[in-house]
Amino acid sequence: MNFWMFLRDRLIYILSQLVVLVFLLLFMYAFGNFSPAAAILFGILYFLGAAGPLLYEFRKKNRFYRNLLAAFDQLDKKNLVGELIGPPDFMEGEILYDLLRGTNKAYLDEINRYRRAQEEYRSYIELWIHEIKTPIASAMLTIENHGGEAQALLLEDLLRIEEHAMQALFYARSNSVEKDYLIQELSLQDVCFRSLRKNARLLIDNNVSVEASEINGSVFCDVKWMVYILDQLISNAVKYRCSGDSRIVFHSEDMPNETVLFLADNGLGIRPEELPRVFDKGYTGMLGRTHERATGMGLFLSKKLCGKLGLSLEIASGGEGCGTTAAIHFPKGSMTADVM
Amino acid sequence: MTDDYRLLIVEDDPRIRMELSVFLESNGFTCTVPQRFDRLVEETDFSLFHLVLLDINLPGVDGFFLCRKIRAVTDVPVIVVTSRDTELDELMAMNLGADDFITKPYHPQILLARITSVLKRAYREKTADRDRVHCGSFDILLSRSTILFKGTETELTKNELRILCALQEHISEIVPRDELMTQLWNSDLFVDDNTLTVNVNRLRSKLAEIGLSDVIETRRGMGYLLSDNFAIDSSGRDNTGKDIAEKVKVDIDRRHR
Repeated sequence: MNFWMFLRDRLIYILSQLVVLVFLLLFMYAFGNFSPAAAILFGILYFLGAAGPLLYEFRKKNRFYRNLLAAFDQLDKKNLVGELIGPPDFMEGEILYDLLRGTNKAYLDEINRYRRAQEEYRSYIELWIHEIKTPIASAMLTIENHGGEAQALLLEDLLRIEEHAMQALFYARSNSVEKDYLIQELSLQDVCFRSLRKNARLLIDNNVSVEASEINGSVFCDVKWMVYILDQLISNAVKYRCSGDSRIVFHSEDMPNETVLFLADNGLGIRPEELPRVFDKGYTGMLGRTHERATGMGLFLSKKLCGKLGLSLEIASGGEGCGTTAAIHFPKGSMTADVM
Repeated sequence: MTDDYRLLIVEDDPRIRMELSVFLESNGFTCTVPQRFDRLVEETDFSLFHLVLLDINLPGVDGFFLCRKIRAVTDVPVIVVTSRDTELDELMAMNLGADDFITKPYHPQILLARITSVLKRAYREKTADRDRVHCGSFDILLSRSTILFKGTETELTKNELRILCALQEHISEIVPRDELMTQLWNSDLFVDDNTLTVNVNRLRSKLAEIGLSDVIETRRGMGYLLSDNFAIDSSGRDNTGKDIAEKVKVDIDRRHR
């Protein structure tokens, strides 16, 4: 709040005071009872009488608005500014104050309505996914028992359905505000081995060799989430492998502030210009478009889930045909304590 | 291999109940499938069963509660089956005394493997020597990573030991290469095709050095076979009769698939 702007708003008042003063002085002059000293004294008194209340008002308002602006600047959630400042002691301020609090409340109610709707939808999706697992399990058993020519084909389709259901489940989880994971201290090697065992058939059938002897240390995360993330990375490595000797190398590095898990493959790699977008939802890149079943969801979800677990996921590639390396950073120390 | 084991299947979905018992019975188990669960613990004689397969999402009864009640009356192994798959559910099931935890949709073969391993843990290994695996005319000593043949021990590498154990589990059956690999992967040995060949050859020559030649046969295009009929005397007695029996068995197996 600028003093000159404050005066400009009161221009009419100031002008009228000046006009009154001039008229009074002229009046005194006309009636002859005039001494310059008396006129000056009168002028000063009049000026003090008129300007004093203005200055007082300026100070009061200036203090209030300065607080308001400062609070607004510092706040992350700007809508809460009304809750932060004290109530003012002048009329326009009170109106503004009430309005701020009123709109904030309306805004929060609105947000809560959406949040509730979103939560309801999410819990419905989770319920649905758990429901759909029963018929999938039942169909798998039926196929196993009755066999027939279509057995292998149907099983493949069922596995694909299962994969999509799991993706939907983790997508729902990745958007939730709730913490439905359990952070524990885990041996990094155990988690990787668990994922490798789970993907054994995929890797063996596609003749991908795995090097996983250099995984050390323990990290803090949720097993199920981590295994899902590793599944995505492994499935990418298999999907975008080169013909010939395919290889995935797991290794970990222990740094002062973090443990990093690297998954390096010798596959098709990623073009440098596509690299910044690999985590975008639905982005498949040139290779994805020519490859089978690229949904552009795997890395997007992995990144998001990592974020929720307090980890970071990075993808690097030497360019087309030069393999891809994924790195998951598990922070140590104070950050880990935060997540716990 | 799975003879005489009686399972109690607690599952509310009638289709799964039926298919599961068909599947498990075709694998040599005897199954009992109760239709009602509200008085399950009171009305079941658990001494009749070797294992309980318990779905925890049952109508009307909380499966976790049921699990605790079963545990209160008996030590029978319990495998909890669920479609909820958070870490918390797993912890809870384990805390309530379940022996294993498997999530739907399970692949039937994986379920079978879990059941077999829980049963093995609970019954077989109580009596048998955990460390010494008997294998035809020689023994595998697991903790020392050696084989014992005619009083002498020969050291094996970790890979060789695991390959030999994997073959031993299906002694005198052909183990297809990819199945052998899957089994090795399941014990955290992530070998690829070439490594497997190299390791098997090394194992084979090690065995041959101590007089156990032709223990591991390669069946081209099919897999490996650990025969239990070798070296009854080390003079290399003709065992064609056994070979023919083997071939018949293989043919039957293949038709069965």
